Amino acid sequence: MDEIIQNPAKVYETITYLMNYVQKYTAIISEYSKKIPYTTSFVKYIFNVVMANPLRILLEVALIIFLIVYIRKDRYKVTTELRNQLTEKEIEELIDEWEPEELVPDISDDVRQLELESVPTLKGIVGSKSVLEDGSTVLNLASNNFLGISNDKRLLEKAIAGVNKYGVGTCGPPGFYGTLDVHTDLEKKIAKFYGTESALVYAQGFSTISSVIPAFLKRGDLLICDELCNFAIQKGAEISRSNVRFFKHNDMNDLEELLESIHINDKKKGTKITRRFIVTEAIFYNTGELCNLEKIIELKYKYKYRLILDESLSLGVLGKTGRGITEHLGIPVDKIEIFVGSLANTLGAAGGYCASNGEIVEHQVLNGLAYCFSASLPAPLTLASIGAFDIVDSKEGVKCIQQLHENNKSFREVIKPSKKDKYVVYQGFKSEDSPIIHLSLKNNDMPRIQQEKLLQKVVDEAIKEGVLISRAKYILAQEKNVPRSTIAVNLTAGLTKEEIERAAVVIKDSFRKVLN
Amino acid sequence: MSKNKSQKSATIEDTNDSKAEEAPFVVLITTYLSYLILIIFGHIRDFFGKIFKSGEYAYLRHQNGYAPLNSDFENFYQRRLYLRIRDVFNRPITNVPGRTLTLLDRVSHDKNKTFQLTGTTTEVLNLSSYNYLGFAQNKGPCAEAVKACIKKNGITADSSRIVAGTHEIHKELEKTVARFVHQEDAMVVNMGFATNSTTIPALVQKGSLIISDQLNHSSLIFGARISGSKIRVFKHNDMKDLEGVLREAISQGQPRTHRPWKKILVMVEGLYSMEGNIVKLDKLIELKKKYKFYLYVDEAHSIGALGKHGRGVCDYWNVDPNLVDIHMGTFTKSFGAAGGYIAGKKKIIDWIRLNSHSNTYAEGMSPLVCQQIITSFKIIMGEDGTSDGKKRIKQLMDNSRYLSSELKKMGFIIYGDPDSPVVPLLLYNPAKVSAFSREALARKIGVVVVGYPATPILSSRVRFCCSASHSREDMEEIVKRISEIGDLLKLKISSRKY
Ligand SMILES: Cc1ncc(COP(=O)(O)O)c(C=O)c1O
Repeated sequence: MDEIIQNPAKVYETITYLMNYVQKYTAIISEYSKKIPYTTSFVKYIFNVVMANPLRILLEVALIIFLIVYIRKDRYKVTTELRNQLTEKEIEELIDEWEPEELVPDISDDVRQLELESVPTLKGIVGSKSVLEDGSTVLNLASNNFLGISNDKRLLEKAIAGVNKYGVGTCGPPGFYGTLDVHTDLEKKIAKFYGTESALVYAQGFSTISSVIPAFLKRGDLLICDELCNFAIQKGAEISRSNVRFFKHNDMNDLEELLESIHINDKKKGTKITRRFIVTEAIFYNTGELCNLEKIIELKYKYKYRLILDESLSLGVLGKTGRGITEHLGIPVDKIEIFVGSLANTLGAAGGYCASNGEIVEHQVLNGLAYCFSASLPAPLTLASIGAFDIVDSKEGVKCIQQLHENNKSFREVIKPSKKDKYVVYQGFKSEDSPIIHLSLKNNDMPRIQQEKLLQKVVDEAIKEGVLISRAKYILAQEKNVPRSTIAVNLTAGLTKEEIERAAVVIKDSFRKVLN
Repeated sequence: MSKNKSQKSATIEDTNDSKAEEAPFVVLITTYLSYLILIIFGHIRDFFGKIFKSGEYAYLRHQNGYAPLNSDFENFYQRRLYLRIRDVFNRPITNVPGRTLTLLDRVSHDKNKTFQLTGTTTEVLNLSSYNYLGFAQNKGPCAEAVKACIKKNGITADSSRIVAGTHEIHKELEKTVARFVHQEDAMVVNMGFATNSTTIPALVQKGSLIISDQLNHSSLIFGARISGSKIRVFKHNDMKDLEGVLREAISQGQPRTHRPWKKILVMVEGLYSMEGNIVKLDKLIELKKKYKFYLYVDEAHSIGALGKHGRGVCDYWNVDPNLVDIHMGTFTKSFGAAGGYIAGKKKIIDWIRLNSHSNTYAEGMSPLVCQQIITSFKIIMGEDGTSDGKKRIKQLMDNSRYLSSELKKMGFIIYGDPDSPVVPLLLYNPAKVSAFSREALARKIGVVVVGYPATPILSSRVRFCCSASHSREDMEEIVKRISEIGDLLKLKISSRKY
């Protein structure tokens, strides 16, 4: 090496020497390549490229090697340039000195009272009428038993039959012998009910959508999301690490503007199109509103997005035969790419599902984290879900849905506040069709904790009078946009018109008693 | 620098006996070659397929302005490797996953794209379900109690726990769990995965550091990632490496600002379900005393299955359970049920009740599942007045030790602790993954095989899960059949002598 540097003439010598070498071997290669068709032209091409611009090729090769080395390098090592250089003694001192915070902060008495001690405990069989710990019976307008079929005798029998044949747990994830024949039956049932090609069952309703989203969206992809969508969607968006853009709650103009601005930006920059999804709930957990599905579908086609629709609260509730918001609004199901929902609410079992085409469902078998790394749904609950679908999908189901709508109307009529009342009924987009009614204080200027306290008093009062309701509960510190403080009343078809009206009167009186 | 470190941290000595055996050189080479061939053939098939059968590959292309759902690159593994051996996964069954499995036979006429059931069934010995204590039963005290419970309490409380879904039986269960793991309080969630993924964000946030074992379960990683805290990883069950990471983290503080971390949470599993390794809890506790981190132990596989009383890793190592801050476990495994728990000091559990996503937003645990867990706990603790629980724990330990020692003696390469009920047997070559499973099926054993990407590319393996539901005769039969397969597939390649 030193020799070369000292004597530049040697460089030329070396290069010619190497070139000779190369030529010799190319001759040998071309000799052989005659036997295989087309190789000659390929080799010639490579050779020409190299000869035409050896320096550039050298540079490119060096660059590739550099890239490989760089990528393979441990990420930590790269950042260690910013490390403080410390001696062993200093490190020991720092370790001795370091005092971590408490693992969890103290809970104030107010919060403890409001959020922990006020939670009611039920006993016996929970239904439209439930029994509290102290033995009193209440009309239950807090649980998600919209059709009043939770814990129906027939479902309990199904569950018992399930225990008789399969025991309780499946002792393994679906991939490893955790798939029972009843799971396949349930999946077929769901697909048939929806009219999609295929479906998949998860073991928990909440974890379903936060697992479906990251199965399809990765870093660099784009997710458009309603700003008041439920917590599971927020978490799914977060874990996917895709770009998440929010539009104002149920504001289609804002959505259109957002999509248009993205579109213009794309054109300007010539961005490569990545996977793009819009995600929305059919009935919003946070407000009880319906989503404006017609408009969303129009926009999704216009700007070429796919749609994920969360039907956790609308399955079995909306539409004449309970097929959800698509039936309610008369939209064909094939306009929506992915349906996600819960088997725990209306159906009164447990778990969640994703219904879609075969490709999308099959993709989740390996990529849906909560599907492939978790034990499958216990057989008795799977059988109960099948039973619940049978009920919804019968004449009886249609009747229940009618009853629910009537109860909805009657309740809203009674609960309508008069001038002197100090509460308001939330009336968002088509929320009169939704069996979830949010009641909040007229005076919205109070600090949140004070509002919550007042609302809790209303709740306590109503429970005393035999109507179980609850404040809408959120994890305030982790929600993206905290909705305003409300009492969320969940109606049910399991009560008669008279009972629902009585409940409405009780709630109204409770508000009056606490606020006036 | 690193030399200094190792001198200072002389407290942590790694014993070598648990070190996994290296594969013979020939096996490594052939394994790499096999993957190479698979990949090359995959690409060739793709190349011609995309030209001649472009319709079948349409889903990988942009279509009328929509990006493909599967990127070609991400999908390659699935298309070219997984599909070849898809028949060994997701095999449907139609009975209790207890001592045996009743498989629904299926065939594929389109190279594993779809399967048709033939209508017949095959009964195989079950070496794959996490039924450690044999509580997956449709008869006996658990099943009877569950059926009575369904009549009394129904199957759902139909609401999230904190809204209106707290049932008496939840409270009873939580008290029982707390008593079992010797903690002040406990909270239960209806899914084990969600117990981790929705609770970790309640404990650590921005400004905190999570130090996580390299091989931690996907649910722990999920939770860590949505918590917003920084994550660092240490080598699997390597306490020396952990100490290095801790020293670095505490002395350097947060990135860029060098502010001290608010808190550090070390997350480990009690028993690693793919490796069969038991966490080195004694050494971990020593480190904890010095470095003041909080400790989160996921006992999904170890609760019930390890320790003299089945109380998990603390019981196994004789460590005071109060030295572990967060005890997490699942009921899917040893209890034959579903769901998971978090146990610890009352203050911590109360905070988690308020801040865990599941407790606020997800459905509560079904009463029937609660009952299955309560009854199995009673049996394990001997509160049913029999010695059934003790017998189960002993039977599991006997079976586990028997299986791993016999297989080692035969010359298989076996990973994991001798006491572990999970016994991984190394296969290495990708072709042997499916071959083992199919041969086992032909010999009436149901096994779980795992390969890349669930394991490192070189160490594809078959994983046996022992169970108290097997008798010694069953185990002898199983060992005999595995030995046959081992001869057939040339798996007895260990150079160690036992
Ligand atoms: C360590 C660990 N944690 C959590 C889980 C998830 O538990 P479950 O199957 O009950 O959802 C598993 C299951 O495989 C596991 O191995």
